[in-house]
Amino acid sequence: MIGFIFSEDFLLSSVMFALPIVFAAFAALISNRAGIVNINIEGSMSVAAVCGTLVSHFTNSWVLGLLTAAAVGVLMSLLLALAALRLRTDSFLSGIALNTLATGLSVYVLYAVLGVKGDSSAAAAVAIPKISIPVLRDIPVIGKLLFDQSVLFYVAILAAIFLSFLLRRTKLGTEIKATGFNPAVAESVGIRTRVVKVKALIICGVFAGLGGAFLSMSYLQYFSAGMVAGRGFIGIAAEAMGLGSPWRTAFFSLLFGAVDYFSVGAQTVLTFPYELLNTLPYLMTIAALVIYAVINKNKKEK
Amino acid sequence: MSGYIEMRGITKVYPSGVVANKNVNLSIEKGEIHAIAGENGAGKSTIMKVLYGAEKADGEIFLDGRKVSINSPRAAGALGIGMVYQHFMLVGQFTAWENIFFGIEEKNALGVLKKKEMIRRAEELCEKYDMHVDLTARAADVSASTAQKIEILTVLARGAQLLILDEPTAVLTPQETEQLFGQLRLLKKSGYTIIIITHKLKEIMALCDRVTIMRQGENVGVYNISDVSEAEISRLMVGRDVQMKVDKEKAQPGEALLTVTDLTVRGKGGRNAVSGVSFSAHRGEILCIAGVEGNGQREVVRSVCGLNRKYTGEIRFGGVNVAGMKIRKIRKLGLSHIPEDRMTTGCNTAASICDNLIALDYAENSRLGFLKTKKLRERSCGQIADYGIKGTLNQKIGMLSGGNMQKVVVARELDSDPALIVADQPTRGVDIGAIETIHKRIVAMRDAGKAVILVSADLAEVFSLADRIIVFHDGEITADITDVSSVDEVQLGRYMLGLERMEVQHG
Repeated sequence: MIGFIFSEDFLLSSVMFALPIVFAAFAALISNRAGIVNINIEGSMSVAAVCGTLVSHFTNSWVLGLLTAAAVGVLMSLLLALAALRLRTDSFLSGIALNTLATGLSVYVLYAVLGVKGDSSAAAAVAIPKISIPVLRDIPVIGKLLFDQSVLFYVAILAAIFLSFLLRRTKLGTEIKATGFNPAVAESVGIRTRVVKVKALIICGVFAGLGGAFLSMSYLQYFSAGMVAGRGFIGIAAEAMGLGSPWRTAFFSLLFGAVDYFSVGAQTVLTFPYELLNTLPYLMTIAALVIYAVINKNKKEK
Repeated sequence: MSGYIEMRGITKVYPSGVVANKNVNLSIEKGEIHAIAGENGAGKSTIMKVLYGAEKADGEIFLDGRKVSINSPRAAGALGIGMVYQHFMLVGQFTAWENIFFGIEEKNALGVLKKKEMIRRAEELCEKYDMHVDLTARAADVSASTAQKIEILTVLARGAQLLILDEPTAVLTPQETEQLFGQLRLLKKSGYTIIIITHKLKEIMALCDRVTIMRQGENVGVYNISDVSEAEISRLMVGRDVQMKVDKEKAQPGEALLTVTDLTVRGKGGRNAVSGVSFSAHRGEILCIAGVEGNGQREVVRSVCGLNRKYTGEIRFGGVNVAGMKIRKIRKLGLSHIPEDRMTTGCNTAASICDNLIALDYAENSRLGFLKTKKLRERSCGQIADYGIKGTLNQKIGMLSGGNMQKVVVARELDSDPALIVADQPTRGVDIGAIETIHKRIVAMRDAGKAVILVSADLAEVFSLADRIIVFHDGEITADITDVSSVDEVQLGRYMLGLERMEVQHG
């Protein structure tokens, strides 16, 4: 058991399990910083996953598949923007509606294209490749962790750098933060907060799309209904724990990824009902959010 | 007539039908400090918001003789007009320099910020106008006077030539006010034009060159300060002679009704908001808690009134320890509380005047769950007449002006037959006429043998009402003044800033 947790395999698998959560968390981060809650990250990932894997299959190109997934993520985000910002509905309720829509839409796309409802394993995608650097990858422990990973692993690191630079050092970042913190003040200096929110949602959509693509084009090479399995929501929880900082958010995503993997991997080393093990990531999410709420409450009282 | 700013025939009618400005003409000369004086609801803020583009109205505006249309604050900014609101428009999580350059950031072609450049320019501004602020402090962490300086710098950084300040001294101590006036005079010397909205007569006399007086949405006169007296201005503002000084006999303090012993309340960041404070409030006496906002007064009031239960020390009310008691129970003991913020805790803005008036005792005035409507409505009608509330029984209280809303709160709290009245900023943002009413009522309560605790940041109010003053600074009592006539505003200010400390006798 201890050996299992401290194995190289556990570390590598945790990172792999963490990747979709990281993208979901970054998606949540950028929209939350702009003050618009997007709880449809789960749904966006799902629709992006199915579209990405199918395009990859039919075009024989993982690049086109990945770009499609990102574009579909943006489209899903724009649907929320349309509802919440243009038609002025409640963003939370619209998010719930879009999630429900996405569940059906992803299966609908699958059925419309392949005529099946369960999964697209009959039309396997061209997988997103690994970047493997000779020599460096042979360094013990960190070699495989840092120099022998899926393209999306490096994209995630670039995304974290991008986000922290965006928020700290750019005009758009300043506008996003101000819109989230105090929209009235932002408006008073002539910032159109709705436009800022749309921009944030577009970035949010790209991340959600990448998260979906990882699941159906890297982790597996096909889409299966329900494969996002709450990772969009877990990402939102990880973001909440990260308190708006990209690096902290990435760290908590990694933690959630480890628990996620543990719930699967431990089944081989533990004599414990796997149904219960499978609940771990979700229990952890609840526990994390409770801790987060308590910390926040104490902060406010101080 | 060709002033710097000419506003002609400005008429503003709000959708609710309230006429805020009636055919107002206003003329501002370049390089003057001009006061817009008037009671609350006189339309002085409205006319300034029209000039700043935050409100649309009928009429014409001329700048340097040229007709301009100002549709938004942005347009006003482009014409060199900037406004500092009473409620600061700062992003609390941003630093001072980030706020100063917010929206006008220096950046390269890629949108990357030039941080060093901006800090350097901010420092230059501070230096030039003698406003020293810590540019890297977060706006949420600085004092009100610093926040105000940041606001002024923000407006200056945008190249404003005309500064409009809305009640700028409401949150300042006498010393800070003096400092602000010094800075404003410096700005005037540098060629800026300044308009301040205020109802504080002393400040108009001390700072301004001219005053425009407004009443009920109309301009009732423009005067050179040298040609007019305080009394005249106040008469024009109210439309009748106002008694500026509250008539009251010497207090006849009775037994101690509320005793607070060694009260400590934890505050932000683990520091004590209130540390080891002891005092008592006596029947027949108005005890005034003075201090710059945020020095522990709020926490003391919240603890006494049962809104905060996390404290150490003891609070006894009529001999009963109130620790852990529910608010309703403490109120049953005879507490009434006029909260500092009428909009959030003082009343339910979505409910009617009548509903707000009966909020304390509707339960006692009902049978089998049904309200004794007739009785309650009759009583409420009486209160509306009694306190001169301009409104009707079923009108939503949120529609009333600040002064009238406050009168509703005061009526409810004072008519509940209390033994102790905690009045927290009872006249903040209330016009002179209503202040007079509220002050008279408070003194009448004292004369009827009630204990009164008055929390006020307004020194004029402190001096006209208090029988005894305790001054708070940084969670401690720096002075306990039993002979109010023995101190002046300057001395009180020194206690408020913690520059000086009186030997405090407890009890």
